[in-house]
Amino acid sequence: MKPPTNTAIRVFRYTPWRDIVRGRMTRRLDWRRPIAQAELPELIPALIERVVKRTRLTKLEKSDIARELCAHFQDGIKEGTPPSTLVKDFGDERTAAKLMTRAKKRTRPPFRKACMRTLKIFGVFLLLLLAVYAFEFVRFNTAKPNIARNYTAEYNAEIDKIPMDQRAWPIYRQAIIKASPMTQEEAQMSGVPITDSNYESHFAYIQRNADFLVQIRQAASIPHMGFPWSNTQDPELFKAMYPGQELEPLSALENPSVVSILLPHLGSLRRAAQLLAIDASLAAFEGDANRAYEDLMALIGMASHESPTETIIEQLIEIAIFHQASQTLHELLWHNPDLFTTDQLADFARTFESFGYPDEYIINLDGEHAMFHDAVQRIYSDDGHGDGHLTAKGLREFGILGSAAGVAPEEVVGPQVVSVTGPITMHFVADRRDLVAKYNEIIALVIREHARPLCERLRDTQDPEWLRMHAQLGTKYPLIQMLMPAYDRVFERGIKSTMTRNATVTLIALERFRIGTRAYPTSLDELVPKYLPAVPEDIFDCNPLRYRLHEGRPLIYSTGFDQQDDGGHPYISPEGADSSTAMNRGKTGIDWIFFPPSSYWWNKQYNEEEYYKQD
Amino acid sequence: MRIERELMRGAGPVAVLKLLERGEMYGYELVEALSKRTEGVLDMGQSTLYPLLYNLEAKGLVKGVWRAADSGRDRKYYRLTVKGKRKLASDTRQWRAVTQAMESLGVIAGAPAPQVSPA
Repeated sequence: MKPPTNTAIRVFRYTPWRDIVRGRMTRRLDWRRPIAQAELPELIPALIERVVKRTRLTKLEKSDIARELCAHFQDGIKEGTPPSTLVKDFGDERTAAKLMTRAKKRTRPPFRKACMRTLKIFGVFLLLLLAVYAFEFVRFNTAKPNIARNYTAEYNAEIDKIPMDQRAWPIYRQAIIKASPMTQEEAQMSGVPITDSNYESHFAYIQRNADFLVQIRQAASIPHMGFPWSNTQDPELFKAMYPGQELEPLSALENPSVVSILLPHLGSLRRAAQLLAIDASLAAFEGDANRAYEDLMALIGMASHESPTETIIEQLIEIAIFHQASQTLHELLWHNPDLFTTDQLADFARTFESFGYPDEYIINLDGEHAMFHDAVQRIYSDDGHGDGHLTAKGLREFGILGSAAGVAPEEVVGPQVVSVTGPITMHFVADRRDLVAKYNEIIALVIREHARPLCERLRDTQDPEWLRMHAQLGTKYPLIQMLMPAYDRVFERGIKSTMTRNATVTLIALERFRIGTRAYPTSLDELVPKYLPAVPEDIFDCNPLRYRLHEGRPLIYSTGFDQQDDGGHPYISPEGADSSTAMNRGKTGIDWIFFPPSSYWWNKQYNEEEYYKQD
Repeated sequence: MRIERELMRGAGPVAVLKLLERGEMYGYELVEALSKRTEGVLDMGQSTLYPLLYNLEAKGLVKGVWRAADSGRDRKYYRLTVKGKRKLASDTRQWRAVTQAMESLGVIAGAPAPQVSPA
């Protein structure tokens, strides 16, 4: 066997680092070198090489064995033993290699053994991890969500059952398309009391929209909204609503996600409601009680349209329109208490009273449930038994959903990153069953919480259980975090709606009492049962709604969130007295005043001493 | 006579330790000595001897040192350590007890007790 050439690279390659550091180029790691240098007769070098090669040891250990075996055979030859005998006496090569490997490993220092064992464990763990990751990668990237339900089709099927003449939306749509666009100046007219100075501009505005108003009143009298769900814009409607803007073409999907459903009609309804409110004020200014009555009834009609599945945003718009109707009526009765007949007031009483539910206004969560369950079926796989895991395809869909909610993971990290990180994310995010169970648990808590009287809830010293649970969701339930609305804020709107309704019904009864007796009652109890079935509740503290006379007119108020009766103390802003923000949380020493209306407080230079002296 | 593997596994190490008791020896020398002094009974191929030596080395019973021989070639010489000497003494006592037990059972008849130097 010829010794290998001593190239510089080879010398470096086979010299341990500690020898190099000491300046000794030993080539101790080259276990073939001693075999080649031993000059042993044929058969023996090959035998040694085979044995050493079979040992799974470090180069240094192999080199040690090679040197020892060489020395052994050299000694045998020196003693005159024939090479063939030495080879024969050596024994089984495989067994020798195996035993030497095992024995040599035992001679390793304990620290080295510990390191090797740790490395081995780590390696095995890493391999295991890689195997798991590979499995999950395939599972994540090949699984497909099973979009079993078409919520949009289900909703639209319900709409299709409604006869065309019982749907309000087609009339609203035509009215909006034909209406002239609202100017900035016109947008600011709403809520401003009509005076001699602004009458002309308000009158001109209403004249320009006379046809629009006729159609709106007609549509408002129809119980069903009949707005069909779609993920695309109605081009004609879009052109009318956003003149000069380009419509981004979108193809209508057969089964669009509920989150992507467009509700362009809501903005138009707000505008129509403003117009009705302005016309009611203008009619009252002109002494046209019937027109004002029609406008107010139309406003309530707009706020009361029925839909198969209502989303929270639709309900919030309804509440806003209802609030506008109440505010308008309050203003009209403040400025002209004798405007309406007793029959008209009785109609108002019935109509306002029927808004919402008998006690508190209940926010319907059906639309949000549809949105959530639709998102789940689009993101998760489906094992047919209510469980499943995140899917790459689902996360891509999630990106689309997310963009609607302001988050688009793929826009941030790209689809490849989603594919690679998804299998890991999958383990930190709840599976389908867990996610749905958590969602149902929170919703059940929300409903249970909402079923308790507000006055009782306000006495709680800590946040409601559902809110605490929601705050602890962390990153495990991102879909709930994204899609679950801030129910506490939503319910506040419900509270506002309930209290506004109670106050309006009370005000109407007070005016009817006054017309009948030529004086206001000293207590709301006098209104029962002729004008009110019962004194409406101040739901903040579960006592009757507050009432007293102020400057000879009714003062109707609630304690607001602080549950303290401050005698009808209005909110004082730097600009003067105001009642509009009194129900805000965190404020004490003030009440929420419904009547007199906002316009009374706007220009009033509030003097607390004078305020109470007058009463 | 060929000794069965299990028996050799027990006898081999103590035999090697015993040989090294007199002084250091290298591999080939040990193979030869074992063969000659036991008349081939404890004849051990290299495939058995070297793993055995490495095991003894791992247990700290022997120590191997590379040194140049008179011929100028490097050889690895093995010698007993203090721990090895204690182990040899202990093993000798055990083997003696086993031999006596075997003798009393008639497995071996009147075999002379081996001479063991104190540890």
